[in-house]
Amino acid sequence: MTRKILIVEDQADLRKLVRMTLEYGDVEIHEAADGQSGLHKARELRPDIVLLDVMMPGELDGFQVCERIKSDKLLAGVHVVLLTARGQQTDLDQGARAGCDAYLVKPFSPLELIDKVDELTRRMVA
Amino acid sequence: MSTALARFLDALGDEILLLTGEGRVRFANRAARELPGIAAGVPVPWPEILRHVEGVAHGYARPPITASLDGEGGAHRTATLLDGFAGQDLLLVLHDDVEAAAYRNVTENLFQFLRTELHASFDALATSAEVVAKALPVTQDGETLHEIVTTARARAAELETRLEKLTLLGDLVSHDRLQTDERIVLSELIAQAWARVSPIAQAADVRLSTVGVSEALPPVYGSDAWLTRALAELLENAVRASGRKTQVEVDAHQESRYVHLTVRDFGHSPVPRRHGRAYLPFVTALEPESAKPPSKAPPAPKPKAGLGVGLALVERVLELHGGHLRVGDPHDDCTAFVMELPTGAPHAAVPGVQLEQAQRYAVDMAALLARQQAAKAVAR
Repeated sequence: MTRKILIVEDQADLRKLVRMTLEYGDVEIHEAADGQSGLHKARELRPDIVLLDVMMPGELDGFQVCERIKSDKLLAGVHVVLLTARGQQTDLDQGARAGCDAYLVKPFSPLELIDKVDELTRRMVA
Repeated sequence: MSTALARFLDALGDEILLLTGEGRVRFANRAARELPGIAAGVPVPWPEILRHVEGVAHGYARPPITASLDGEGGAHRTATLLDGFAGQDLLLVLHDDVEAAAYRNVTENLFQFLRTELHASFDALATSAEVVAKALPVTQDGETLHEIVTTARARAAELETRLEKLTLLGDLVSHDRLQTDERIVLSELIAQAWARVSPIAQAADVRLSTVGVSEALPPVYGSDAWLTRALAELLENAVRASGRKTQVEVDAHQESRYVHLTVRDFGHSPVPRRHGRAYLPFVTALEPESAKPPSKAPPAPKPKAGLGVGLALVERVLELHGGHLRVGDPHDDCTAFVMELPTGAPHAAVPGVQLEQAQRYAVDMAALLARQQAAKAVAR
């Protein structure tokens, strides 16, 4: 099964690192550099998993993109992992309200990232 | 060069030189003419700048180029070489860092003095006056004295508030950016700021009405406390300028990558022509008494002119968030101040992966590669 993953992150180098981490096996990876284009690509590509940075410049931040993905019936079943810089309880609560499936606190380990993506993949298959 | 442009450059504090493509002085503004070795037609006296000029001439470098110049007596300038107004000309801007640092130190010391030496005194005065006012019996004879003490207490509290604004402004002078990244929802920001001014709003029976405030507005990132303080300052001004039983309006909307928060009052408008100076510390936007045209109508109660620190404080807070404060379009019936704030998180000061994230990857790199190889082997 080909996993389709969308990385929405404003830092180009971090996008590369995440791509490098996940780019093995049967996977198709797409990237977006801000919330607006991330939402656009999510609607266009309907990925299995969206890795979504919380703090992004521009009109939509990660929480808002997550809310819009989760409230879009056409994107039902898309899993969202928030990449948050702080991991404070208020952020986690906000992420839960936005409907995210999981979150990773920066700086995150690449192994954690793989585990999280694998876990969500297993959930999709089940 | 036109006379108007020469006059404009002469009016600037930084030293500005227009150079030929070979580094000879074509024009020097008033500040630059006071530097030793500067004369029309001769090369600038700084070998480093000449090297950069030569580099530009040969296509090895492109403006803008920044360099540091150390001079006699510890003088230190930041030199910026820019494209000139025409042809191969270059513009050299010299900024005196020592003078700027000295000015900043003096300013910081002043604010420190205000904070440590005066704030406690006014605080003690206000507290003492309050104690005395409470202790005084309100009798027929003592009523006047009671009023005097109560007024003194109010004045001391007013001075304390103004001093607090001054010290807050002082706190912000030395910042280049507020290092906070709190996520701020605008509807909550407005509610918090209004809550701060609600005692004076209730006393004046002034209501808040909002336009366009919804959860759909994008959040801003920054300091919740400072932005609440800034918006409360505008709301307080608006409430004070409004008549009794009126309203203050906050209009929120998005313009591209900015949100605009417009605070409108329908009371005594500061005279628009003074608005441009209103953001300067110690300049008040209110028109001086003598400049107002005579009127036969009975005078309306006037808001008191403050120190002129409030708007400067708001402007500085917004600057530190990458935003602006501006005066809204003037209308006969209202005054409007607009807070413009960039939406979303600030762009990273240094692009690239943060150090901690890179280190985390480095620690787990071997394990990552092993896991990826194992996964590939399974796939084969």
